Amino acid sequence: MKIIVCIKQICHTYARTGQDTERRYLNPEDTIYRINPYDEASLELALRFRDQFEPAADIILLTLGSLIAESELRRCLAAGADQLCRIVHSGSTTEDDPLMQPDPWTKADLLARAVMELGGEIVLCGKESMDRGSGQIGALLAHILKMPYVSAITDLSAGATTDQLHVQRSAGRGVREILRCPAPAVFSVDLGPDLRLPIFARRQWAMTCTIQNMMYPPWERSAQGVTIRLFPPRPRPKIVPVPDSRLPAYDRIGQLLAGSKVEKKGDLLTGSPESQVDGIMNYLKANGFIKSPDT
Amino acid sequence: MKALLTALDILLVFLAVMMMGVGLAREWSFWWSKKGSRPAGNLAGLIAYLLQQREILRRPAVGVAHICVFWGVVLPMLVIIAAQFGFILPVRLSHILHLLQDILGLFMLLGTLYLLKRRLRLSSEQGPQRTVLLIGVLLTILVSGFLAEGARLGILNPTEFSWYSPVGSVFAQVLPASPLFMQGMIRMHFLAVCVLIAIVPFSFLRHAVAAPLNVFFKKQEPGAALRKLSLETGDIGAKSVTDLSWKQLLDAEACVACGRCEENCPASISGKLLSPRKVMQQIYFQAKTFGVAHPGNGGQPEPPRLASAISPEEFWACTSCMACVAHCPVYAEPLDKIIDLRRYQVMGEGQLPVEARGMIRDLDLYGDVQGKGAAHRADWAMHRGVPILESAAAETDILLWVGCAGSYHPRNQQTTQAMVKILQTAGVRFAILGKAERCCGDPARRLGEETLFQRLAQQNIEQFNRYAAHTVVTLCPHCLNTLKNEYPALGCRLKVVHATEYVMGLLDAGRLQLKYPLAKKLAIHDACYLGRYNGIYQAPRQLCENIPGLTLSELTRSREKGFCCGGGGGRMWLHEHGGRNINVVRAEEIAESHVELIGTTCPYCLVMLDDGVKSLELEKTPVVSDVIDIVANALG
Repeated sequence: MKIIVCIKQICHTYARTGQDTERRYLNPEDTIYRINPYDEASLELALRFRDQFEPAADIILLTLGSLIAESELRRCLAAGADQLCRIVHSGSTTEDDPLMQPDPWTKADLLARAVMELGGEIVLCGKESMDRGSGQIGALLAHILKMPYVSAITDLSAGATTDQLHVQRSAGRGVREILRCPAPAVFSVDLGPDLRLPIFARRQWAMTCTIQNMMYPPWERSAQGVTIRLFPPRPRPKIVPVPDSRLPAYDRIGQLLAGSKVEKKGDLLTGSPESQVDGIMNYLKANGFIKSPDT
Repeated sequence: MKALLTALDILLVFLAVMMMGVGLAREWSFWWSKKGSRPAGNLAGLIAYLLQQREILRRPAVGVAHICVFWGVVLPMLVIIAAQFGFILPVRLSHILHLLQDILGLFMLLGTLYLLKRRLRLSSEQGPQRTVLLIGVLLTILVSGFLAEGARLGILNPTEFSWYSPVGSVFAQVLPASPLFMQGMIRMHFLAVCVLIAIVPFSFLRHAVAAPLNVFFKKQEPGAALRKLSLETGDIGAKSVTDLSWKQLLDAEACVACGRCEENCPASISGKLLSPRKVMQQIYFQAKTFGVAHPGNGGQPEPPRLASAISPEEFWACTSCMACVAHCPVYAEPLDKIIDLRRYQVMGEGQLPVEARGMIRDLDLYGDVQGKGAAHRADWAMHRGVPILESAAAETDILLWVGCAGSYHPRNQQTTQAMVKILQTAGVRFAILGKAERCCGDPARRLGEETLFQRLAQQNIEQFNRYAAHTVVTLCPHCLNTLKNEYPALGCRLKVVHATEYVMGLLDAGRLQLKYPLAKKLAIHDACYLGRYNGIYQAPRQLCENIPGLTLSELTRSREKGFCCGGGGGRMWLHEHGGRNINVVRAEEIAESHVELIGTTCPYCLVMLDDGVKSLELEKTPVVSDVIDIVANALG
């Protein structure tokens, strides 16, 4: 039995500390490259399914595009997968930029071709990705492959017969439902247990494992829905600073909207009450609010 | 003397020595053939140890008894060896020596009786095994020796009291003047000595060989550092006794199961299952029972996993405080074996307690234990005039290593800001690494994740190599220990100083003035990683003494005997199962001494003790404060 897990390497932006609008307020250390956590959850589900029901199953990881998070991919491989396949398509551009990723149709088509070539019986993917969050890949895959599809599952188990699968999903507001689904099928997975820790021997194996490249030409039909503009978030100030009243209104508004960092002007007096009193007195004298007796 | 020994006697002695030799060789082979480099050995240290017996005297009564028994065994042995060279002593001198021997024998008798009484009273499964037999043999030797002397005097000088043989003279009054009796006693004495020699490897007396060897081969480098795993060779920790090094096995052999480690272990004291003594004894037991050769050689079956004898619940309870190492009289170290057990558990089996996985994942992805990311590492320093090393390398003397707690934890950020205030007031040219800094890797290493530790360390070492070697000043003793004692094994030697030491230096040089008084009663809680690991006890106390109005009181369990806050060894991120929380135990102890202020020198201690005292819900809660905070407040 082959279980195919589609994993996406993402460029996760966890902070916007830059000042440059050209670079969308991003500094180099504001992003990390990792695997979409929903995809890691789907891998963990696949591993648990194999442990419990199908010890002889092969788990194949499938990813698309350039290797921006190779160490993380190999970590997923070390966690228990058997093979890592990468789809290379001749239309690929820089993957960092979500705007420049191919649209979900194209991605689903490429993945479907790989799934058909590999021959998977269960196809798992994450419910959505953390960088674009379109959440369409599972459904589109199932459509192209003509397989049944259940979204946002949290548990996968074998049913009464070998070709029946039971999946559990949250039906909203605490309600959980269990569905019976015939294999082969496509499931998208919601967050659940964390991906297991890989053992060292497998990490070493995964470091040197060859990634199988699968080359496909780009799809002829272009996407119907196309992104035409992308608005990055304005860096949100953590604490809104008090604008400087001496500045004109335009600058004051600029101050309010400035960076995600706190603009703190002036001296913060700390310490014991005596030292703080001294600090206040020094400030008042230094700025001419109080004339000291000897001037 | 030689005329009294028959051929049979010589044969018996020979047999006894053979038995001892064979037994010891078997014990020896147990660890002598194992991996690891053999250090030079410190003979002077060993001799000093044997003469002073300081570590054993930490339990005063037992220590004195041990000294009596020790010299009672060693001196006659030396005398016997010297006597083989056949020389005549002047009568007066020989009488004085005889008297001294009698006194020594008497003391040894008292010591042995005390130890026997103690052994019979304390019956613990984990305690020293096979001691009663040994004590019986020693008593036989002593009593038969005195009785033989008494019989001899009874035959030679029945009426006179020989001043040089008081015990014998006393016995001479009551014993029959029978040469047969005397011969019988002499025979018994002789046989008992032979038995003693023969049973050295098989009874508790093996510690007389193993313990001095362990002291001889004691690690000489200062500071406690875990050994670096050369992961490429497949060394991932201790699955079974075959994975332990010869020194670790020698430690296990030298362990006399005295229980001082267990008595001082915070996990043990707070009711957890962990017992460092049990760890050592289980390792010894498994090594003796199953052998230590790798299964490949000679088709032996693989020894069982150590984790089946020492359960994961036990070794995850360790806070790596090093109290077991500090208190062991034979310098055995349970700590590095516990860490090796953890390493195998994590890297060989992928089993890490669930609570810590999030933190490890964060360390993996973001490079800090809170998971906030390098982008925010220097947020605490914003607009405070803190130079970043990248741009200020030319005008920097000191690199201030902030650490994860000081960078991200709101309470510890205050301490970092206080340190900056101190440095700026003193006019020190310092800088921080800022966003280029990563976690030193200590939590990962203590939890057994060696791969992650080495990766984080390499990232930091790259930064250190980019700039000229500055002195590194750090606020966190864990960072201090890792940077100072563990990075050299990875190829990076740094001069690292703790903030309290550095500030004390500034104070001594007159660059700081502590003006504002603080009229409170303060006790210093010694951080394990600052105190036992790096020997720094005085600097925080000196700093506090220089603050006007502050009265220092010393806690009972302080300095080397200090009690852990419970946060080390990665336990900050683990739940405590069973017993009481370690930080609450310590907080209670401190609260009982009625201090108003608790001075800490470690961000972990600060957080753990703060939680601890607050959970006690006292009327007058002591305030927990870092010593650097207190100093900064007093700054003029």
